[in-house]
Order: sequence, then C-alpha cells, then structure tokens
Amino acid sequence: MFTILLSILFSLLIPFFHVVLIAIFRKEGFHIKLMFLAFLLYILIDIYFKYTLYYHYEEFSLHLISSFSTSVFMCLFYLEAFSMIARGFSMRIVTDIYLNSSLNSEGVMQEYAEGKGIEWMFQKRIEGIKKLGFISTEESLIKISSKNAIYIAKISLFYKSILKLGRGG
Amino acid sequence: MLINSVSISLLSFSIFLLLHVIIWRMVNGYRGIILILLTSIAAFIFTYYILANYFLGLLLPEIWMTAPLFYCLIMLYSHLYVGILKSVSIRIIEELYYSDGFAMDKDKIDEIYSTKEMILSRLSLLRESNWIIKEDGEYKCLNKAIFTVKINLFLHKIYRLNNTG
Repeated sequence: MFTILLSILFSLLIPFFHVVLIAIFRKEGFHIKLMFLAFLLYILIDIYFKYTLYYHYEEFSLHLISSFSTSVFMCLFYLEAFSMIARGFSMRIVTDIYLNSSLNSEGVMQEYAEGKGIEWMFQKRIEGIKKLGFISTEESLIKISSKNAIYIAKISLFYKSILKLGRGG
Repeated sequence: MLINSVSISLLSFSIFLLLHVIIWRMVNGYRGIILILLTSIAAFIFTYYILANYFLGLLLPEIWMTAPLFYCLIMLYSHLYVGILKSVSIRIIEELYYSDGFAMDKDKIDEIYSTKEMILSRLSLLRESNWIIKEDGEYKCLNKAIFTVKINLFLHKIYRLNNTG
C-alpha cells in the first residue's frame, strides 16, 4: 500500500518539473514534449526510490509493477488535465464567455480563443493532422494521404458502431 | 503471486470490456466517464467475488497489488474512449474516409461537420450541467464556471500558454 501512496505523493513533482522546464526552455509549442520529459523524470525518481526501499523484499517485482502502474496512471491523469487547460473546447468557450461578461451563440463563434474565432480552431486541428502526415492539402482540397489514416477511420467507425456512440466529435 | 496479480488485473479488465459493451449497447443517453468508472468498479468487485467463491484454491492477492495495474488499463482505455468520441481530428478523418477519393473541399467538411453545430451542442451541454445560463439570448457564466475559469486563467500564466483551445 505504501508503495502506491509514495507514487501518488511523488506525482506532485510532475507539474513542478513541467513548469520549471517550460520556464527554462521558454519555447512556444514545446509544452507537450516538456510534459513527457517531466513524466520521464518523475517515473525515474519513483523507480529509483522503490529500488532503494524494496530491492531486498521478496515481492520486489510486484512493488515495481504497482509503482509503475500508479505512475503511468498519474501521468495519464495529468495529461488529461493539461490537455483540458491547453486544448479544452468547452473550457475555452466558458473562458471566452467570462472574459466578455456575456455572449450570444454568434459571439461565442467570433470570440473563440480570445477573438481568433472558431475557424482558427478548425484550422488548428487540420494543421495538427497534417503535421502527423495523415492528410495533405491542395488549396482548399483536403485529402487523406496515409494508409494509417484509413485504418484509424475504419477502427474508429467500427468502435463507434459497436458502442452505439453516434458520429462523435 | 506476481502472475496471480497480473492475471487478475487482466481478467478484471476483460470483464470490464464485456460489461462496457453490454451496458453501452443497452443504455441510451449519458454514457460518460462516470459510467466507465462505475462499470470498472463493478467489474473489479465481480472478479474478486467470483474468484473468492469459485476458485478457493487460488491465493488471492491483496487489492493494492492488482488495483494499480487494473486502473492504469482503465485510464488508458478512457483516453482511447474520449479520444475517439470527442476528437475533432478523428471526425475530420472519418468524413474524408467517407468521401469520394478520400478527398473533400474544406467548405464541404464545414457543411457536413458544422462548426456552428459543434458550438451549439457544447453550449447546450454546458447549460445542462449548470456551467452557464442563457438570458435574453446571451450566455453568462454561473459561479461554478467563474471559479474554474479563474483557475484556468491562472494556469495559463503559470504554463505560459498563449494559444489555447
């Protein structure tokens, strides 16, 4: 039990490492890479402590698996929280309404992301999948450019049909 | 003990997947993360109950030995679930996959997957969960939203985030 609590306690280091790394590198668009670096540092510290504390125990491998699983769990939890802060769609809408005191639905679309507009968000997503090599663009035409994108579409559609999730997005 | 622990975690996860598919096919309406969490707890308890009652010869490991790996798998699965369900990027890829020659004009995508619809559905969800209210056609933040937004803006400063959303 103590091994899990220790991993949870050490997870407080993730935001600390992340913020410090961002402050050191000060590079726009580097946040995600630095987050993974923070994860690595946290997991290494956690494993080092568990190695020191439990190496002589008979069930050392069990402690190690529990620790590692808890560490990965905490990393994924942080990843979700950070993703909501940095990319959260609903969070951005609520923030824009707050910053403008009140907005109608047209205003929400125009003022999205501090005035960049909803088109900016859509374009950002398209640029994101383009960077991953899944699509290519020629003027206003968007095209699937990788077999992986076709597999993703097939898997996603199959998954949604099994769980009756509708179109999603 | 190591093999027992890992096997029980994997067995619980398999039972969770089975329950998840059954429940999701039967239940309509809300099927979010809370329901995934409840399903996972039910699957975990069910696995221990079955093993304790029908496989008495098996040495059951303590919960702290099996729960971390099981919940790590649940967390990974939740990311996949939310990713596929909510991702705008995946939805765009799906729309392209359906189109002739896997290609589509940007305006056509916007027609099928309307950004206006996207905003309206989120606004409706935010209203349902009491984050915002609509007064005279204008949306306003409720206390819960104001508190969260203040924290969010503070975190934007801490993390030096300029282009969020």
